[in-house]
Amino acid sequence: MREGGVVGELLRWACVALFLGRAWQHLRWDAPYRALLWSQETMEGVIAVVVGMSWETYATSPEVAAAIATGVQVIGLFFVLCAVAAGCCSPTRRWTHFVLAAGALALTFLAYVTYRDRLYRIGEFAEYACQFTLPLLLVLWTRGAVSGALLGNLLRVAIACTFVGHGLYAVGLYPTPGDWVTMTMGLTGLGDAAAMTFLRIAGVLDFVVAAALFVGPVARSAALYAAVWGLLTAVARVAAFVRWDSFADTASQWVFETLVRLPHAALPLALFWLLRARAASAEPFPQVRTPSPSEFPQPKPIT
Amino acid sequence: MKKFILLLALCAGASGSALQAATDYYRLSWRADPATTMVVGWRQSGGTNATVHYGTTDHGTNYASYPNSLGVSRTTTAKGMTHQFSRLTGLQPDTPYYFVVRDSQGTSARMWFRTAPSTAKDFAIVAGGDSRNNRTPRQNANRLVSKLRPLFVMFGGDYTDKNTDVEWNDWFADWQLTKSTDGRMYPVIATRGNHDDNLSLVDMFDIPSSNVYYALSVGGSSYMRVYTLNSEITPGGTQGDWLVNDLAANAGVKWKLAQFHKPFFPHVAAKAENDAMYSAWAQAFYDRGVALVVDSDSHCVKHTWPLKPTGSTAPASAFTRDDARGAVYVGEGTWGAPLRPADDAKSYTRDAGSFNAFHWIQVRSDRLEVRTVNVDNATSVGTVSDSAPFTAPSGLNVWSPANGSVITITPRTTVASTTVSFQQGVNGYSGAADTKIRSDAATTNYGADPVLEIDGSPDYAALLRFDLSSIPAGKTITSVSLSVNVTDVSSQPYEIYAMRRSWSESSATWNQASSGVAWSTVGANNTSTDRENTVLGALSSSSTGVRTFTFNASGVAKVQAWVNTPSSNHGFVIQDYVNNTDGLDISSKENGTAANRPKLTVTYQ
Repeated sequence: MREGGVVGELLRWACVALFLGRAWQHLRWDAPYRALLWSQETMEGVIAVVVGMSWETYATSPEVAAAIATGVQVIGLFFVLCAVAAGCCSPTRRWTHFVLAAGALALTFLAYVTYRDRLYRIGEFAEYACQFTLPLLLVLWTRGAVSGALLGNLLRVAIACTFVGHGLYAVGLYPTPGDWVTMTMGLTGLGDAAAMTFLRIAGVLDFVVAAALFVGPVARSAALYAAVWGLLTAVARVAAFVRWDSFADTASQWVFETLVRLPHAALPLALFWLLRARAASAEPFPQVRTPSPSEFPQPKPIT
Repeated sequence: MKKFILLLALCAGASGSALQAATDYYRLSWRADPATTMVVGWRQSGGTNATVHYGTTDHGTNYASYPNSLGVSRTTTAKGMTHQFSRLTGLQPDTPYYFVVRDSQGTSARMWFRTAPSTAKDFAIVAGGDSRNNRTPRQNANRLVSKLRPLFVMFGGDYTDKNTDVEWNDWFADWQLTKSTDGRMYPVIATRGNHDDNLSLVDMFDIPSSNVYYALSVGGSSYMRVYTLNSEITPGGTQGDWLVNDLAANAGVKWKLAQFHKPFFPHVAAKAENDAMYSAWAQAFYDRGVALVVDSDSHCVKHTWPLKPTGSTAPASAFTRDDARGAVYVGEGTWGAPLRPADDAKSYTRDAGSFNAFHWIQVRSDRLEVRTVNVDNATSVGTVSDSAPFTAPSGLNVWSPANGSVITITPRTTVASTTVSFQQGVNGYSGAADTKIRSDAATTNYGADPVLEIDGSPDYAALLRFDLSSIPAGKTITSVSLSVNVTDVSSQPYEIYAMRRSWSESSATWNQASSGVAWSTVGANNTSTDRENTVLGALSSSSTGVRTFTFNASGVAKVQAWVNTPSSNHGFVIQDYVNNTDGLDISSKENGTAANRPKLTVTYQ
């Protein structure tokens, strides 16, 4: 397989995994849109004008709660469509481009409401960068709208944002989530104090890697580290929390958490692949080019 | 004439400001014994030299008449406010204290509180949580606190929506509605939710634990213990060990209550399960007779039957009903939060619903009674009399679901504990095995040596195994300790790890587990095949003689596994090849004095 093809396929299947994960999250569980819809500070006036309800009525209405739940499910169905579009995205299937662009917008909005839900921590929004940029990168790459060099730079920015966002929690500048400590303890056998130290070190490395992605001589190593770490942190959710005695319940809750994080591995791997090609040629990304429509592999649609 | 009027106006303004203290947003909390202490907190906006003047006689706002005064014990800045706290101590139990806060700009209104009793006595509690983004019911719930006049309030977290300065200002303004018309205020035992952070809660309620998990004894040391746990940090580890140990240390307490934010298994289908919390806490609650657990987060209402955990992390089968010993779980956070439908009832759910509410808990010597109160009509509810704290006020809207409006909980019966010790040659026990392995004598077996040496330079380890088959199957292990006779001290901790494979006392060496069977990694150090990597406990001692080391929660769980599956009991290794340089020596089972031999003590129910 050519280098360009490998990058395209990495983006494609990471995007499929991402949307399938988000779809499952929305259809089975929930998503934090209430961080906006239930914000009395932001929405009370809007609700009064648009819906004509008092805030108390709105916030305690079973009908409103049901409507929000339905809305979450509808977005979940849309993400299924996005996964299909990612799976069969090609230069000639222009509808997939529009769907994926809309999917990127939906993911960006999801990142925004998550940022609100996590107490306006900007690092939370940054951590989602790999996810909400991925559909656009796939479309741009598929359409031949970006060169390998530009794609590489876009990848660097997205990966760096994600790793910095993650690092802010890991080093404790934001409260380190209890789940992370529990997960680390479960997988390593460390006590909580040692697990916290481990996370602190990992957080510092997140920052180092984010910076190193922009430093020519070490960028490829940084991308490879980011890919490995991204994969480990994605798979760790399943490894730590899925239990045989409650497989259906725990898999339902945690497999999607792994799927949505696969881009954290796939994007660095794509960057690594691009940098590897550049190193082989000694010129900036000369061997990497977007396949022409006639060359582009035509995957079978997901059914 | 104009100058005179202006002067009058200035004087009036000056005298007005002099009367008004720069303190507001008052709150009460506890850091220590609720019978003899109280923390009075407030917002300080200007002014200096704030002082709490207090006493058991009401002197109104005449601060100078109060016999006691205390300045600021702690000042913090959180959520755009300066908070000050006076930590009152030396108070009389079960006594009303009247107080004012006086500073350079004036004197507050007169308020009062009642200290907790120091012995068993009837009282009431209000418990609930999630007041974060529906202000009208939040204010109603606060008003209802002022009318129910509880001894204290258990608040389950998620005070505000976004944890912002503005929202916390509003929250404290609304909290003033909990103050009764006669000026009585109620201490709040604060829990952290996922919309809060540890630091600001500690700084706004003067919580005694920086990690926001702590326990308070109410009514003396044997009547009630209230556990506040933090669902936003890892539930096991240090917090889990603390809980297990504190419950064990307070085994004789009649009433044990727990509160934390996130339910183990929410009654809202879209909410994620929290089985790590269940695994860390539920069995401890059951083993130690916790009567009532209050959780929040989901924005619905639930009552469960008294529950015994099954160990399964599947929500549908995680509990079975046990009326005699089980803990009742109530929740799930509707103190002013948008409501969600309670659409995920379990087989062990007693009742579930969705409305603005908190729980009114009546504590008596022979029973707890829990009622869930709809707070929407708070303004039309009457007031409880302090002389009859359990008489419902007029208009109180108590939830009356299918299985009854009152949950009655009698003191939990805990199965009597049995403690057994395993020590070679004592009471006919002969099931122990031990040896040491040394890196500098890699092929030498020390099975008959009377001393077990443990060191990190050079690397030595001790292998020990105890046959536990005399513990009946099905018993629940509640504590484990290892007693050893220390003959050479070391302050460096040596960790205990469970062995993964069998080994022979008479042939184990640094290189091999038994004759012809090598360790995967010399020193029994392969964590995949030779030993496990979870620390079960640690040994260190700065003095010689018999010393006892308690296994942690993982250690207790491991011994439980050995009892459940005796074939998995390969004993344990004590070692630290990485960090230590100072050796620790202990007597082996070959020591001539039986009392000096290693002893494993196991308590089970």
